[in-house]
Amino acid sequence: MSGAAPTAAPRGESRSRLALTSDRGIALLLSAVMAGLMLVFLVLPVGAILLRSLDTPAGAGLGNFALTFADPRFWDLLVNSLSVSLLSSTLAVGLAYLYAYALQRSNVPLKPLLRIVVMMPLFAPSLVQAQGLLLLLGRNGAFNRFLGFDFDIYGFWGVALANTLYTFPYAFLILSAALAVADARVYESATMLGARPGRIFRTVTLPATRYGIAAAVFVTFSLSVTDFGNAIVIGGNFSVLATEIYNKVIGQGQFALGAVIGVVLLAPAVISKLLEKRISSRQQAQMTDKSVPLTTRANRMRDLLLGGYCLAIMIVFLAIPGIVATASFVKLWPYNMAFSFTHYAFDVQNGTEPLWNSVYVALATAGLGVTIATVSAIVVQKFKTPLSGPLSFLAILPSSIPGMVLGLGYVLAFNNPANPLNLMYGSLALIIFLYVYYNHAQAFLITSTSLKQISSSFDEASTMLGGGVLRTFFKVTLPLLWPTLLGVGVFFFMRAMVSLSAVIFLITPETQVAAVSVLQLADRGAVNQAAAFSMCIMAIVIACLLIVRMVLWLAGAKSVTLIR
Amino acid sequence: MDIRVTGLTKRFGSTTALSDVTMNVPEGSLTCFLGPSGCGKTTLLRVIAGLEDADSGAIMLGDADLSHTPARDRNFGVVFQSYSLFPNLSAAQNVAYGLECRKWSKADIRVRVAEMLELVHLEDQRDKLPAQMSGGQQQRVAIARALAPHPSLLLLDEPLSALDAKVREELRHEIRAIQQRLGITTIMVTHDQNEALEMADQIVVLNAGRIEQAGSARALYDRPRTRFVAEFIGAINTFTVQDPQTDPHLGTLRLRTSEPLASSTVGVRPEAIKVLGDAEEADNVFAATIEKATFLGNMTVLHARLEAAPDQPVVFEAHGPADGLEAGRKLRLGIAAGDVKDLA
Ligand SMILES: Nc1ncnc2c1ncn2[C@@H]1O[C@H](COP(=O)(O)OP(=O)(O)O)[C@@H](O)[C@H]1O
Ligand SMILES: [Mg+2]
Repeated sequence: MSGAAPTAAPRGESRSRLALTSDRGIALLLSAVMAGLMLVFLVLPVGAILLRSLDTPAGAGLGNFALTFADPRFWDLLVNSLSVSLLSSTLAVGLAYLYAYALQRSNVPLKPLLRIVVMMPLFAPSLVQAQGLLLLLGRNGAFNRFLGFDFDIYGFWGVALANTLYTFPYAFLILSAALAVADARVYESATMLGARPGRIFRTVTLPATRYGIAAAVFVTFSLSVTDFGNAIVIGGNFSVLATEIYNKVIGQGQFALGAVIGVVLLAPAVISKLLEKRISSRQQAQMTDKSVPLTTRANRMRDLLLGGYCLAIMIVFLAIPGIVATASFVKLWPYNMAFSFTHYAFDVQNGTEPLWNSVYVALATAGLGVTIATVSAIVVQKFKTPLSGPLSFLAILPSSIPGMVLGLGYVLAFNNPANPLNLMYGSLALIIFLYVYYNHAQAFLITSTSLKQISSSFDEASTMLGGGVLRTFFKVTLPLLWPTLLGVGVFFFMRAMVSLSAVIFLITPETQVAAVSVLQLADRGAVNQAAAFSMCIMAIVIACLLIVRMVLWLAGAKSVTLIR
Repeated sequence: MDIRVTGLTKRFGSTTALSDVTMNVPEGSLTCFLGPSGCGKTTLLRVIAGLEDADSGAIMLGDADLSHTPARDRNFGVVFQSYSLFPNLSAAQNVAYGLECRKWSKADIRVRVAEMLELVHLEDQRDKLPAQMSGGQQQRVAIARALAPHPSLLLLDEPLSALDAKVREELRHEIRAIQQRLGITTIMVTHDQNEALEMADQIVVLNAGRIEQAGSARALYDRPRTRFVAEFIGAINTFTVQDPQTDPHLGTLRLRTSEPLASSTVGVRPEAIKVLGDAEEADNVFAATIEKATFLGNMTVLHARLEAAPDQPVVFEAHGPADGLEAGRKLRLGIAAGDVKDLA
């Protein structure tokens, strides 16, 4: 060996022990911190809901449940919730399937445009769908006012339609992914065996995507059941369970009864999540590395029909934000249609403060969320500590908790003098933690998947070269992972900008956020100002998407998914 | 310093990847782990590296027990099968990585990196990212990176298996040359017998988690102890012998061997089977009929049937002009007593 360069210091027993404990120490410390945060901001609130629902004047018991179940109104609301969600879920999945099919399996033009337009509902609070529908089809809507129709959109149909629009993009993303994978060999075999297109669709395409369909049904159904913005704006006298919690808690201060309905709402979400998990675990081995990707053959007629369909859907998805934008720019919808900027002055209530609160909260959520999701993913995947197992369960737990229920849990857990973190109550910090943990599951899964794709041989190579846990992370893992993490940040930002039901109970005049402002303005009948507020939220979300897309493009990371 | 492995056992759930492995890697030598896919070569290498913990057994480097030394403090260099260069770092930065971990000074690092890149003939590629280099170049950088911190042991896990035949050939010679020049103790995993035969001072043949035999290429070829080793290194005809200890017979003929047989399986390398002229004699002479002759240019591969044991086919090679060597032809085949190998 050449003697010129310094040789590595001889390493004695004590030295290596020390290194071992320090890496192990970091692993244990981070695991403990993550577990602690999850306990406080996830387990505690959910526990608080369960406890509160059992808390009766006569001590712990099922009295609240008995009281609720004995009330015929509860059963009406349950039927309302289930029927409206079933309908909107069926519609959303059916329409989205055909739309995704057109984009994945035909040669319709302008696919990037078609794809982004149906994502619009993700860029705004859910209730913008109801807002737009009212402006189109409501009592003072464009159709009734200007075109002489006489629609009555309030109630069941309005909620069903609004939820269909709101959940369509979620269904589309799932189905699009399901339809994107296809093994050409199967299709070619079917064709060579003499199957006609209709038969191929029934015998090959549908079976291959049935898990995607099931997943889409579950997701859209639980979104509809637990959404309350649309129901409150367009429901009229039609109430559902989600609006009932709102009324019980905000209107009447009946926390225990609200908690009971919260537990009831938890049930369908948990059940569909469990089913979805079982189903997706069975979907694995559909594509093998020998599969041949399907290429789309030319077919004029098919493209024309599907193109027409896509155009119609696109018009609907443009009409909603379009009409909201129009309403935000006119003097007084629908009476004075002169162009005006006055509604953007935001001279009511707290002015633009909720908007800035939202931006601040969303940025903080993105930063904190990415950090927490990344650390949890690393802790679960790379560190083998006794906490890895429980952490991996807790990390994906939030995906089955409706935002509204988690939010109520925060109120019950933190608006409680016995909780040392009580002073967080009424602060933006608590809202930030709520958003982080509400969206934790998805962010954690995205990060874990990316982390898995970074070959473990890099870790091992680094270890063999003498690198510790932290050096490996900052020198190797982070430089490879950052585009994904930026994508996760965008995801947190978007969700924090638009989520309404999660924070509705945590809002104080000082911590007002934009989505809640829209609801309150719409509730008060300030149609134009509500529209202007919605437009601002959408503009901020879209601007964020554009900026991040540009950063990624400049950095050469083009394949990162931003919209989820 | 020698590496000594004793009684190593490793299980993954119900699979036993290594069972009671004991062996020795002499200082300065190149040892190959050879065996079919799934026999435990990688696992053995990773246990030695410290990337896996064994269930039982010990690893000693000289007199030091490595059991409680974590992988990153063992100061071993590893080259992995798949390219494991850090994709975000240039060739030079990759080579410098281990030196930075050891807190070398900037100046020393610069000197050492240049020296290492020169060693693998990549001085001109120092600023390229892994994705901008060919597979062969990437593995050279990986070798330079592993060697840079003066490791006490170099571990290579099928470093050539992802490369094309020509590059593989080239790099084989180069690795061996570097290894001999630096005199670094090296373990290389391979499933390619030619690679092992060409490069290794010592070959350790593994089968289903056990060591079948260890020794020099010559020793394993000339004196395989088991049928597995005999068949894995080179080709061999195996025959079943009756009454091996008392009165060994191959079919109806008495079999002459240089040493008494212990087992009933014997092996004869194809090149040890000679076609005898009319007047020629040998220790063992068999009458045979050619069943099939395959002309391969420089030689002819012959499948034949022995009259003494028609149920035990034999394959051998004839070099030079193959006149008249065709199916149906009758021959006399000679096998020297010393060429009959006793296989367990
Ligand atoms: N991480 C692991 N988990 C479970 N089984 C493993 C793991 N690594 C190796 N094995 C099993 O151990 C055996 C030996 O594997 P390996 O050492 O990789 O073989 P080789 O490198 O000789 O092809 C195989 O049966 C393999 O399936
Ligand atoms: Mg291997």
